[in-house]
Amino acid sequence: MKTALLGSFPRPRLLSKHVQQFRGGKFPEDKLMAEISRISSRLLGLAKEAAIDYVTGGNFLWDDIVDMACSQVTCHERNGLMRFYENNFYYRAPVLKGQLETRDQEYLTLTRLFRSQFDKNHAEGAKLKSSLLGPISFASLSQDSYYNDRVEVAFAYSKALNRSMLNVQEVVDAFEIQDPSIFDRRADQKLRSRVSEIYQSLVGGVTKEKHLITYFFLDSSSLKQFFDLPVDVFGLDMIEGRNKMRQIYPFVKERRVYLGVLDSRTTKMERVSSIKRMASRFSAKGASDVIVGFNSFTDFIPEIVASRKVRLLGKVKKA
Amino acid sequence: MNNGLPPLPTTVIGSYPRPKWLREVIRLRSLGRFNDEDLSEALNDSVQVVLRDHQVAGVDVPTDGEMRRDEMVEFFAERLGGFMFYGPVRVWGPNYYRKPSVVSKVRHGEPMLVDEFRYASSISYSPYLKVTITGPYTMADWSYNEYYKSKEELAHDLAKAMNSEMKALVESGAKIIQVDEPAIHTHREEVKWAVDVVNESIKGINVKVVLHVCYGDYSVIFPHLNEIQVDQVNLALKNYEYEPIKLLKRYKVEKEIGIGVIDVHTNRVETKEEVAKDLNRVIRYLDYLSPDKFWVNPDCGLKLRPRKVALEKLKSMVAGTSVLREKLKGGVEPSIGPTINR
Ligand SMILES: [Zn+2]
Repeated sequence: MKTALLGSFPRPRLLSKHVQQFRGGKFPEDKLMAEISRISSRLLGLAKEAAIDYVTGGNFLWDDIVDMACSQVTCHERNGLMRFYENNFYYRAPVLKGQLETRDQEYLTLTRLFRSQFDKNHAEGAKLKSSLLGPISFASLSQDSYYNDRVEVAFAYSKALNRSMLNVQEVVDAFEIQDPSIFDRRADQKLRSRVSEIYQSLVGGVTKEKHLITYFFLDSSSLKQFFDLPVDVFGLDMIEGRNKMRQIYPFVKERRVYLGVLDSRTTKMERVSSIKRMASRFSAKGASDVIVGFNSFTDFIPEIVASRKVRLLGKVKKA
Repeated sequence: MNNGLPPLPTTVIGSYPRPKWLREVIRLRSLGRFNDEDLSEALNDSVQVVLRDHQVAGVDVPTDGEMRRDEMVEFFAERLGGFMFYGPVRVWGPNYYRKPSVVSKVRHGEPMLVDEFRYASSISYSPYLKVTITGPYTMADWSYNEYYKSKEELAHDLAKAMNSEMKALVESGAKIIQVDEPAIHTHREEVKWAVDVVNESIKGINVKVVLHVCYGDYSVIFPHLNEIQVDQVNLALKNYEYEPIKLLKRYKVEKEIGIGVIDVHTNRVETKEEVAKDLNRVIRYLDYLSPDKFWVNPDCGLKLRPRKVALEKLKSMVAGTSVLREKLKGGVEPSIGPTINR
């Protein structure tokens, strides 16, 4: 069994303020990068202590995963605040008014920064994972007035994102593609039905491990399609899926699975024993690798609780 | 008209911008340079200022502007038993709030709002001061649950606690209580029991009870509005260009309707002509309700607007309402008492 961090980590108040000032041209870039380095190295230190296998740098420059996607592709405009699925967490929706192009300088710079922090300090065998927003979710969360078709948006985004991944892959060990809309029954059905082709175009030429992460939803009727996607690790939100284990088991044989067992939306602590139990059930059903971690990124809980849960992951591994 | 309320009574949702000097006093208190007495004096003074603004604007049913509340869940979580705070959580960009965790059984101890109600009503220009209270569903939805088996179980205990608070308010003379439930329509699969917990929280409260709902997918909650035992529902409507009134009519919502005619998300001040036109349109469209069923309010609390803008918006709201009042033929008598026996 392995352990992993997932996506962004709670961002300190002061850093958020500085990011906002920086975006408005009122905070120097070098100072901001130094601050991000410091906070990201603190997270990497925590991950090392807990001997986490797949770590992320915390994505501290971006307000949310959609904001991060907009550092990789041109989002033209950003619209008013939209609810991020059913959470009391809001993002600015990309407004597409033209072709989606790769725009990876900022993303690459940050990934390099995480890499240099990671190289200085990591547990033996640990790998650096880079976060991405998946095409089904990007197409669902953006407002399009150019392509006039969500499927077209997803293909165009995949193409642009693929270029970004090719540019960045020498700096990272793995990609974590967060794509919750894959299982969202309320998402565009036509879009969901084309997920295989869309993913084929996303991953072409990408040689590093690809972890597909879903959260908030788990639609058991699309599990077959999900487990056939061209990725290396299949991630499921096991808080959402705790009563759907039987439906999931038939698909995990010889598959590497990521189980989101730590609830990133509650301050309640999980039990080491129940996490261990779930992981061993999946191994017993033939999963070739089981990685455990948060069910989603951790911006929904206070930093102190998120850190406690990372330490708990460390205990899970040792137990 | 013996209760003194004109047709189309105007009111506010609750929160109002804190005067700059109050924010400064709060900061100095947190640095230890002012003491609790200084803060309490400043809070009382600011309530005077808010009521004066409401009076100048001509609002019929004012509030104290929620001057004492930093945030609508935090305030109650700090005062009820069973909650604790771990730290701030980000909502978007650089904006955070302190989301509480429920770590033991929720208990109602000392009254939370009685002192603020007593003070505000002692200086109020209107006998109909409205008190706002965060509803049990929103309290549960915006907290972490570490203690209860389910969110529903937590919400029921919160309903009991809020009910005790409302009883204390009625005992001290409150005539209008508004239950704020901005989260009630966020989880479609929970709305059925959410209705039950709101009803549990207002059981036995026989003064006028208002429900405030704002922003989001109204189609989740409107089909259930008639099951909620409140006298009035006030809604954010301006922000949606009044689209949701179609749903109100479709579901024949038989409540007094508080029409949100002021967008609280922009600094643009609506004109009085615009307000009058909007009101006219809504009242004509909802022709299954008699004219005495309509009240007028902003979409939501005004606390995020600059104070000057908030005041101008209220003035427009009242001026626009007056235009329409004159057009309404006589005999429209809005009620101030409860319309349902709870
Ligand atoms: Zn509101």
